[in-house]
Amino acid sequence: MRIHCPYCGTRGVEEFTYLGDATVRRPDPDAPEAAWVDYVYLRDNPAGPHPEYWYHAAGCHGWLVVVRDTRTHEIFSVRTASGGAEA
Amino acid sequence: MPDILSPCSPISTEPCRVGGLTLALAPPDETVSIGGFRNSLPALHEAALQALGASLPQTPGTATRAQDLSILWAGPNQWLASAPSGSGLMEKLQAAFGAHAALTDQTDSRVTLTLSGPYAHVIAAKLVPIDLHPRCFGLSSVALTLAGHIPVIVVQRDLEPSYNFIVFRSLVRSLHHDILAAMQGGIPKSEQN
Amino acid sequence: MNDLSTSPMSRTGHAGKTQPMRLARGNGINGDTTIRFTFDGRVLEAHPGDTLASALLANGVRLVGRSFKYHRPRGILSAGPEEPNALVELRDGARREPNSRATVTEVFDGLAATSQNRWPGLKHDLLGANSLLAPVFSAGFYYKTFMWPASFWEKVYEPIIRRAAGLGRAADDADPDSYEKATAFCDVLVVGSGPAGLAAARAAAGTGARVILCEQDSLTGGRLRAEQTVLDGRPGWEWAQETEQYLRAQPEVRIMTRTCVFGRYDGGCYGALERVADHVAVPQAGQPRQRLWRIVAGQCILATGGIERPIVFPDNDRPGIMLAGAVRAYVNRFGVVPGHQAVIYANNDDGLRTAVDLHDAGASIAAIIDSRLPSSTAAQVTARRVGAPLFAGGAIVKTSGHTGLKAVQVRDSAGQTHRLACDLLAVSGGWNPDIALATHHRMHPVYDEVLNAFVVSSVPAGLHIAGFAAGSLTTDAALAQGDALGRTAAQAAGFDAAIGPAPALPRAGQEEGYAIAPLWHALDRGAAKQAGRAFIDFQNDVTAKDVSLAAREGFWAVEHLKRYTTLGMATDQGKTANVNALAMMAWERGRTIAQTGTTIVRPPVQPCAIGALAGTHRGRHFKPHRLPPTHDWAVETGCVLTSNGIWQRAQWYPRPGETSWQETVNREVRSVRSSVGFCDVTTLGKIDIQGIDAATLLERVYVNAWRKLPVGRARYGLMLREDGFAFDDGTTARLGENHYVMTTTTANAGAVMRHLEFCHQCLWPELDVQFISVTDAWAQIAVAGPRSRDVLREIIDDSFDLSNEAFGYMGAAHVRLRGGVAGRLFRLSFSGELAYEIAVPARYGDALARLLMRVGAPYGITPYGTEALGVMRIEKGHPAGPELNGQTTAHDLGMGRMLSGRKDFIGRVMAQRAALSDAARPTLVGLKPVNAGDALVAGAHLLPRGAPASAASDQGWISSSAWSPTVESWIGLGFLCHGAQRHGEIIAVHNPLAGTVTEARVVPPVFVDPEGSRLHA
Repeated sequence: MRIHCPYCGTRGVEEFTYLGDATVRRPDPDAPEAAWVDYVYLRDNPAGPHPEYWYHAAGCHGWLVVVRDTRTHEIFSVRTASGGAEA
Repeated sequence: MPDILSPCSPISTEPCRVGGLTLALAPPDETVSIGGFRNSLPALHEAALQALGASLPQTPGTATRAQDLSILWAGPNQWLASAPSGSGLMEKLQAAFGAHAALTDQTDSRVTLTLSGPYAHVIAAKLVPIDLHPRCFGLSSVALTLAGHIPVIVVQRDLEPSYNFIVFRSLVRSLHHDILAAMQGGIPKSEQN
Repeated sequence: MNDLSTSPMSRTGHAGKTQPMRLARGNGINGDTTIRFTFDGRVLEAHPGDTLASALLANGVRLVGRSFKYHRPRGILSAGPEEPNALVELRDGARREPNSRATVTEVFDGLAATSQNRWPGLKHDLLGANSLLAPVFSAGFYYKTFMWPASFWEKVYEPIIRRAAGLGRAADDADPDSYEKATAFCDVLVVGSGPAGLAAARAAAGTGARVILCEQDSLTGGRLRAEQTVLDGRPGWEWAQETEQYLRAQPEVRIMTRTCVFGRYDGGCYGALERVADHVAVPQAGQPRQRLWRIVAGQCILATGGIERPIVFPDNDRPGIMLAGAVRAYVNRFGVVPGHQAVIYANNDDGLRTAVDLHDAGASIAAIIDSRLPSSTAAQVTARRVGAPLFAGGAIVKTSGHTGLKAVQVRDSAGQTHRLACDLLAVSGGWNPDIALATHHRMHPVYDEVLNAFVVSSVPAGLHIAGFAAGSLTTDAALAQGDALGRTAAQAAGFDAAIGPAPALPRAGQEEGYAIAPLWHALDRGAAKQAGRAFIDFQNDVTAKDVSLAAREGFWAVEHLKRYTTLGMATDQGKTANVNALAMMAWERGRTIAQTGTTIVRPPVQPCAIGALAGTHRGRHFKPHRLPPTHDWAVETGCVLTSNGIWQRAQWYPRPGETSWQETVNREVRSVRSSVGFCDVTTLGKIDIQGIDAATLLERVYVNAWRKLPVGRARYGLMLREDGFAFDDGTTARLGENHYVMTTTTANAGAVMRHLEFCHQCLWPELDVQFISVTDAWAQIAVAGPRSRDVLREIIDDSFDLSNEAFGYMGAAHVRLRGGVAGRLFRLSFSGELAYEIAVPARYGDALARLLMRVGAPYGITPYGTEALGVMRIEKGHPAGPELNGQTTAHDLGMGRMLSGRKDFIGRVMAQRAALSDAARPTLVGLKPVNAGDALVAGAHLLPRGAPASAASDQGWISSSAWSPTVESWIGLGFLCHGAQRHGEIIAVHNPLAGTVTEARVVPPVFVDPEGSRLHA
């Protein structure tokens, strides 16, 4: 698999580290425990396009949000998690 | 009082030659990493131009140069500046934009191995999984990538082409071994015309 | 029965006495040079350009090996990588390589090849008696025969299976050759260099696209080498040669021969294996035997041609029975006639051309058996031309010849049988497009009723299929399709297809016919009743009877069929077998082939050595090594090294006269506790953190408070994961107003950096903070022991006040060493003694170690390694990797009170869950055996005294243990339910591996200086 890093260009998957679901949002510190349980443990596992966090560990150290089809590995879009560049 | 500690090179300074190819340890430059603070980026860029006469490259994968100073793109809002030993680089950068960026001395953090000679690009292709074709990678191109299992910064030095592999000091012997093995592995027949 | 055998073969060409079957010509052979090789010790001659198979055939050798299960005599079936039978051992000694396909092995001078799977000899093989045990070896035999008793498995069944069923022997020694990897990029990758591939490469190159053309063979041309195809009035292979030269002259074209593209992966990545030196005795000095390529291609054109199918009939496996297309390849390319007297058996016109090529080469054709009724015009013309009888609608029902074909029995369309003497039977059941690479992304092929083969159902993005692989039946069609797709692919890769006037395409003119009529086997209903064995998968000895049995026993789904019968496994992966098996299954079940379906294949499409996948990363270089700055000095002292992740660290420093590591470690510990020692701790992760929000970031990633840490001080910090469990720990020092340096454990340095980046980029991008690793920048050495201050006074510039009052415990400072080197000094202690960590730029690390030895000599300074480091931290009760194992909480570690209630931090909310601080959770305790000499072992279980050693009574475990020379007892750290309340209790320590139970007293986890007075000295 190859991922188009908005900074470094298209690179092999071995340069990246996978984290998982990028749709979850860290709850407010005062949020009820249930919201935290949801954030920490519960993940959807959709068959199809899914936004995921990937870390360009061997490149720019950028955390990326990669929209990948979990069935085919086709990648539809990549953007930086901090909201900068898009590719 | 004389220095009671003498510096020690992390690897032999003797160049290795295989055929026309050479692998050599580059002289230890002074190196400083620049991490631009997000709230003062315009000021940082302005100060760099004014004080150094060189811009901090904003295009990923590029480098700029002014006299002895070279500045590599090293990540979003991050750069690696280097200048010959003894040039007081840290002090210069502190004076130029110390308030706008995190400056960290990386002189001892990294070591540069230079690969040169005919077909150096072919040998490099055995190490780094990036496209080194002139359409994609040229003079002063910079890539943060992996040489085998080892993180490296690759810089094309000239049009020959020859390359610098900038590697963490603790990994330089493993990288040296891997580059040498690639040199000894020869030029693939399909590259020879 | 009529005997239709014709006259003995008319001698062909100028065959010399050593290569009796060799012709004068052969478009891929250099007949001017003769080389020698051996087969089973016999010296034979060959020419450059020969494969082992063609050379054996040239020498009249037909029997090449014995089959897997039944040890049946086998010969050469094919002329390519699909070969199931002709597997041999190549070379000898450490380079011995089993299961090599003779059909793709290039002969070199001195090659030694040996037949395999026979004992004692190829011609007289005692295990051939396996044939008599056929019922035992039928479908599912592994499952049925070796089921029970279970006690027989290891001692009886496995040795029997291994001896009888193995193929070749692997070398006993390490492979002396090297392998390497490389990456190549292109716009258009063309796989296969037959007419379609060459035309595609030429067209794509004309647009300026970067083109890589891969050919697994040593020569380009594909079937143009194997056939007598004429292009523009000249031999087709000459056009291939010219086109190759033209392509080589193009600046952006790269031709890779002997390179098999074995896999198609995500994102346009292809795996390819280049056999750099398989065709020579020994690789050139330093050069690899094979090279593994990762090819990254924008677009790819598969021009992989096809693979011919055998026909299933009784005893269809004898040496001398070959695929028709292979026979033509041997005649035309290699200049070898595989037999004097040939029978052709085909269900299509293509196969019949074999008769013409053989006839023109001087062989006599005993008969043409055309399964089609009526036969085609082409068949009739062919039969007349070669002067052979034509059996339209005929079938072969029997063959004979123990170690090589002697005759076949034909049943004609009227039902009469005829015996035909022959030594060669060329068989064609039609051709399968080779679409393996297209199926690597789970594309399921569909059955084409016209082509009688599986074809690509939908072409994945970025992939194009040309030539016979796409069903093009003629050379002209293949050329035209290749040319068109070459442009299409280049255009898809962003090039202008209108540019580039490629030379005109040649024309074959007269189109060859195919005219296939399906025929899969020549068996009567109820295959089990057939005399003789009708093989479907030659390599795995799977017969029609096995497929029939699988059908009856319910294993009719294609994936079950494969596993139950072992069909399609091993080196050839059923390339010549799979479709015939599906047809057989369809027939048994009364369904169509389309309904029966097909399996898809995984990479690699051809065998790929593990050595090639490893490349240069083997032995000592399997992983890179990180070396701390004192490495050379430590090795000079004769230290023993250990791996700490990829770091190589000194484990202990033996001295002359010391007889065990324990003795050495005890001395190192005593030296530190009584005087002074030092240890390189560079490997701890060091992260430089700067910015106005640096403190905020620390507050959020550590459980404890940071804002009030003064400049010039360090603090211990604990990080949690968001689920509330402990993640990592270390000390962080404040060097300036907005400047910190964080240390992490050696193991987690990378993970912590990634975590910080995640927090900064994904959670709180508004924080104005920068961090960068400085692990390699500083040589950091711990100097520990009551005399450490005295030693440092010899090193640190006099202007720095080292007194306890001026630079107390947890102090951090910029210092100058005597002579001027700028460093950092931290008053940190892992050992529990008065201790410092001194950091100097890494280039001075080696000199600093030597200096410490010199100035510390009056105090008896000793370097210590990771083992003594570990003993001392256990003595002091400091948690490390075994305690921070991902399952422990701050509460478990006795650090529950560190959790700040006044701020948000990673893991805060989840750590507050009641279960995570439940008093019943195992918490950190010290353990001391009742008998000081009873060894404690990490991993041992803690049980109440007298309780049965069962999971129900399990109350915890030992995480770390050591012999403490300070306490003069074994000591351990562990986790015990209600641990903090049980100090003083004696519990049982159960080591299930050794089967021992010993007793230990629960004690506080700090064994040495619990008051901490030494630290603060």
